[in-house]
Amino acid sequence: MSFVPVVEAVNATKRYGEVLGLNGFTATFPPGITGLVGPNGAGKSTLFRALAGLLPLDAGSLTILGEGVWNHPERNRMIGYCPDHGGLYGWMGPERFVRTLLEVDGFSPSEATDRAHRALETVDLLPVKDRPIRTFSKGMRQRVKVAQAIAHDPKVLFLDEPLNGTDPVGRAKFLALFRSLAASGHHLIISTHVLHEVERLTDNIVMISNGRAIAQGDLHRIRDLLDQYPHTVELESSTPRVLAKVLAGRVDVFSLQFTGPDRVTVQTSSPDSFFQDLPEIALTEGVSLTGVRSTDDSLEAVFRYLAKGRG
Amino acid sequence: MTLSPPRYALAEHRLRPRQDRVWTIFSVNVRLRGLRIFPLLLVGFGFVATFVPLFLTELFSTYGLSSGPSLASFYSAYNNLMLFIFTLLMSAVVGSGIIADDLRTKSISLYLSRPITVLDYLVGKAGVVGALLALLAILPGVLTAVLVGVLGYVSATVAAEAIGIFLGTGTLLVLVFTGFAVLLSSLTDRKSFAGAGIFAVLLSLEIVASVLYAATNQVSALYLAPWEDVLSVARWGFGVSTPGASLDPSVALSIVIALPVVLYGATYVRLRRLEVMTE
Repeated sequence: MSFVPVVEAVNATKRYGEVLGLNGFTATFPPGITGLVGPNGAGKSTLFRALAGLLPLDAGSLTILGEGVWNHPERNRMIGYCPDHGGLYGWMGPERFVRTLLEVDGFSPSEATDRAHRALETVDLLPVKDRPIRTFSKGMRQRVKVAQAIAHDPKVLFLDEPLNGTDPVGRAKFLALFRSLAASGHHLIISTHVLHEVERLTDNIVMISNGRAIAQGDLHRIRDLLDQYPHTVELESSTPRVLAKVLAGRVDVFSLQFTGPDRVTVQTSSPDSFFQDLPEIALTEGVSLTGVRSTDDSLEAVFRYLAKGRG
Repeated sequence: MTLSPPRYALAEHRLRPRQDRVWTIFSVNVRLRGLRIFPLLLVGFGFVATFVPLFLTELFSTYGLSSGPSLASFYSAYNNLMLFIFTLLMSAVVGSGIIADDLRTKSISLYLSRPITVLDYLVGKAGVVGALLALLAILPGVLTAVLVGVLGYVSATVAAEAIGIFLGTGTLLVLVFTGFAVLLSSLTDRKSFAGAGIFAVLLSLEIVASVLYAATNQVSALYLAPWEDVLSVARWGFGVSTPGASLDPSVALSIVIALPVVLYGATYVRLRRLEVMTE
C-alpha cells in the first residue's frame, strides 16, 4: 500500500561546529503515530527543530507531507511542535500563553481564547488557566506545552519527550490523548528514550543513534533484525548443568553462563527457533525447565543491540 | 433503515493577515515589558524631564524673556541632556530582555515554529522598544508643538514644521537606539549582560567621540557618536547654527540612516543563524 509519508528525511545532516546533530539521517515516517527512539544526545531534538523550521540543514532534505520545511513559515500552520526544554513564559498563565501563540498563528482573539480553553481542558489545566506557569510542576509545564502544540489543530505533531516529568496518571492521560489524536486523523511523531512508553502507543518505530537512523519500521520487523545479534535468554532449571550441556550442542547458541544455582543464561543468534525448540528439548532430554525469561524482550534491548551493531 | 457513517470536516477559520500576527507579538510584549514599574517610571520621569523644559522654553520665549518663539527654539528639546539619559536608560531597561529572555526561556522556538518569519518576529520585538522610546524622543516635542500652535505662540506653519521635524528626527533617534538594543539583546541569553552592553556601547560611543574631539580638535570624531549625529540632523532641521566647526548634517543624516540598516541587518542574520542545542 502506498502513502504520502508524513515525514521523509533523506541524508539529513546538521552540524553544530564539530558536533554532528544529524549525520545523514534517512528515514520515512508513515501516517499515524511513530515513535522516534534514541538515547539523550542521539539527535531527536535536532531533528524536531529542523522539522519545525528552526534549523537549516547542512545537507540532505526534510519534507512534511511532501513539502519542504525550511523557509516556508506559512506551512508551520500544519505542524504542532512541543519542545523538550523550556519554551514557556513563566510569568504568564497558561491561557494567556496558549492564546498568544494562537494569535501569532493568525486566529482572532475570540477564536484564540476559545481554542486555548479547549486545549487546556484537554490537558486538565483549565482550572489553573490564570496561575503563572512558573508555579507549575514539570508535569504541568509539559501539559502547557502539549496544549499549545494541539490548540491550532495541526495535521502533524512533533512531540519531543512529552512524557518527561509526568506522573503515572498524567502519563496515562497523555497516552490516551495521543491515541485519540491519531484516531481523529492527526499524525504524531513522539520522541522518547524510555522505550516501553512508545511500545504502548505504536508499532511504528524509527530508532536514532549518533544522528543516524539505525532502524525503522514495524516493531516486529525491527525485532527480526535481532537475528543478526545475540539474544539473551535466562533459563531456570533444577538441573542447569544438564540443560547447559544439551544447549551447548546447538549451532545458534554461542554463549552459556551460570548466573545462579538454578539458572543458566544463554546467548542465541536465532531466538525464534530457540524458543520453538525449547519445549521439545526439555521433553526429549528430560530436563526440568521451571522458567524462561528473555531479558531482551523490550525495545531497550533491541535498541542496545542495533546501536552496538552499527557502531 | 440505512446507517451511514457521520461525516466530519475541519472548520475553516479565516486567519488574520501577517501584520496582525506581528501586532500580536508587539502588543503582548508591550504588556510584558512596558507595563512594569521601572519602564513606567522611566516613561513618566523622562516625559516630564523632556516636555517641561521644552514647553517652558517656548513659554518664556513668548513672554519676552527671549526673542520670541521660532522654529529654532524647538531645538531645545534636543539640547537637553535628560533626553539622552532617559532614552539610554529606556533602551537598556526595556531592550535588554526583548530577545535575550526568549533565548533564555527558549520561547523563541515556539514563536518561530508558528507561521511567522524571523523578520516578523524582529519587527514585533523592535517595535516594543521603539514605541517606548518614542514616548520620550518624539511625543514631548510633538505635543509641545501642538500646544504652542493651538495657544497661538507660534504660527500654524511653524508648529506644523516643528511637528514634522520632531517626527523625522525622533524616528531616526528611535531607530538607532532600538537597533543597538535588539542587536545586543540577540547576542546573549542573559538579560543583565544585554542591558549592560546596550548602556556601555551607547554611552562609550558618546564618551569616546567627545574625548577624541577634545584631544584632536577634529570635529569629524563626533560622527562616531550616534547621539551627536542625531543632534546635527536636528540642528539642521530646526535651522540652528552653532559657532565654530560643526558636523556636516548630510553626512550625519547618512550615518543615522545607514546605522539602523546595519544594526537590524546584523540582528536578522544573527536570528537566522540562531542554533540552540537542547540535548
